[in-house]
Amino acid sequence: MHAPNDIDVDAVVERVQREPARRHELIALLDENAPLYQGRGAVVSGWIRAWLMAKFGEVGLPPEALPLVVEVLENDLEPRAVAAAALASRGMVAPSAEIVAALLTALRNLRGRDEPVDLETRDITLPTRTTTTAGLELLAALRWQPAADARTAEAIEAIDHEWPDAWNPRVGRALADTVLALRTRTPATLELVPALLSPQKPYVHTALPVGTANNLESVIVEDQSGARLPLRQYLSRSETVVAFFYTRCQNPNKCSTTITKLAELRRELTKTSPMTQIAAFTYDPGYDLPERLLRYGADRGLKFSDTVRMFRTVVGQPELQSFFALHVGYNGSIVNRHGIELFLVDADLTVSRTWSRVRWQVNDVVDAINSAR
Amino acid sequence: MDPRKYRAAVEADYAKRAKKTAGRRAAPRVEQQPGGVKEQVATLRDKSAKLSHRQAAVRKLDESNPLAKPSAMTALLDVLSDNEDNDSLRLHCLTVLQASSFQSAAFGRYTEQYTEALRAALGAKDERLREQAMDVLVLSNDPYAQQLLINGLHDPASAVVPPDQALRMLSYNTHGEQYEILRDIAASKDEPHLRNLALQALAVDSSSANTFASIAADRDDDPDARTTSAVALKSLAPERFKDLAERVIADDDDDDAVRAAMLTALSGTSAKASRPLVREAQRIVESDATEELRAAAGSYLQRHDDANQ
Repeated sequence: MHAPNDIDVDAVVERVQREPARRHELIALLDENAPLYQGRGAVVSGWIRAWLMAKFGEVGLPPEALPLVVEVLENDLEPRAVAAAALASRGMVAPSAEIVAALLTALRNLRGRDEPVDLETRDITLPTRTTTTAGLELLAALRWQPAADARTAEAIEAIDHEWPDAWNPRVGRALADTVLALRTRTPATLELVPALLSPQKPYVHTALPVGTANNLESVIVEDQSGARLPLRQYLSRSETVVAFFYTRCQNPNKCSTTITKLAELRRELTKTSPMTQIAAFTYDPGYDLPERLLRYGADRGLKFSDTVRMFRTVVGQPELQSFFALHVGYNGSIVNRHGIELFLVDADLTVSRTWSRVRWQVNDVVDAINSAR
Repeated sequence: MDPRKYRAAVEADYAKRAKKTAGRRAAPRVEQQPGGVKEQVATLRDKSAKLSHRQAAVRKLDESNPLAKPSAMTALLDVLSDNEDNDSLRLHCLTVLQASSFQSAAFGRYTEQYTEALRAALGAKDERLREQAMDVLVLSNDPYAQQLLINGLHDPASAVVPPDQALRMLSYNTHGEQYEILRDIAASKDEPHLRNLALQALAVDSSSANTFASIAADRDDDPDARTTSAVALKSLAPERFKDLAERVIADDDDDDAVRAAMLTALSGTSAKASRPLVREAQRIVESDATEELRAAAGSYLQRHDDANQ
């Protein structure tokens, strides 16, 4: 079961544990397209990624890793991943309203799904030493997070009241204790935070060009109607909002939501920026044939047109991945994990804006398009 | 400040406060037991009681909505977890718990113990109990259960469930770890039944399209494996399947059951019929092919009679 890279991964982790200043080295290992996830299924790759992410709780969470943690908290439904992200958030010694909001979202998402989790071992085949649950870790992170306050207590209480039976007794008690602890949080607790590091501002919006137009020279795509064309031909007609998804994604917070929001974005752009194109590319071009693309988009309200299309690559999937530096990993042809990513590509094929690992908002994208004019 | 020191300080602060609040949470959740439940729980827990009485206790608890009574749920979970207890009773408890789990909001507080109990039940002597527990775990993508299934296929002596059941359950999760072992089983012709199940499970893997095309076209291969491969190919690469099917259907020396399956698969597509295939189907209907193949050809013509005219 051990891929050749496992030993290297263990070595990196040990090195970072010895020298926490090198914690940035963990970030590359958390990228979905890192070699250690290739050829593994979603469960094992998720297991390893959670084990790695939890290390930030121990060695400290650098600001560059915050989007990775927030993305999991906001969108993941797998208890072990959520527990790891909650633990990782405790590696940041600074008040962060963003983390508090993400922890509350995760707590809402977790109702009825909480499970015992083991974050101690990388090897899924070893016996588990369960000591915690995702719910307990989220609550511990909320108690720990300096920005959590009486309003946070109210939000937790509202979650508890809305789904009073969704938690096991251990988590139920921790909910009540956390509410009380936050409601009566004294200045002394906050004083524990050292002269405080300035609140971190994670890169939620970046404008990094991620590839050169030459990368896309040979890419041929097929749209939902079965029409084939060179990708450059489509992208060079006008600025284009590019999203990624796949129809077999099992997390409703990711691909299904992305396409539903693209449908909404299309409605907005029709009013404000009718020349802007939309292109949704599947991560899974071998399976997502035109009929599947058509059905998936239509079921989520996406109205197709000449400027609004879904694509699968027929030639050049690696080139497409490389151009956008996509956060996606594969087990053979099957996607094992992916991020949430949206790009604004100009007609000259430069990427002018990126929304990576965030729940992008339709209004933000519309504003970005309009302000670029 | 070192995050570890900070965490320790905050947790110490929390622990001090938590002591003061101990017991407050439990108060609103004190169970209100209607008459009889207490006795049923006691009987269920009593290993010295007759099995029939304990079974009756499970039935009565089931009828009285056990989710509303924490003591009933805990007893059911405890019995399911206990590898020393009677397996048929444990199976009965599992059935009741499984039914309760459909009320997902109310069941949420028991999810953790249920998962642990199911994992414990994988060590039962009774194969039915092991299969049922494994099925529930795999349906919820439990990584431990999935790994046990794969281990069991590699090493049948340690398998928790028979290999055909393992293959069936592994196919629940298209994002799983199973593809390597599935390809190995599909490549071996020693056990046709298992091979066919492995091919079915591989039908979601677009990188297996070449394997399916090769098996479906091979006249010397097992007809069941060819039929499964043809159907999988139709899903993964419809055009490629159509070309292959037209060749196979036109070949009178090929297996009639496989030709019939391919004709039936082509009948189920929304694509327009091709004239050569319509002519081929007409020829088959009037030939001395097996009844199954002639019936498939007839259905094809009926479905595509627009092209027939």
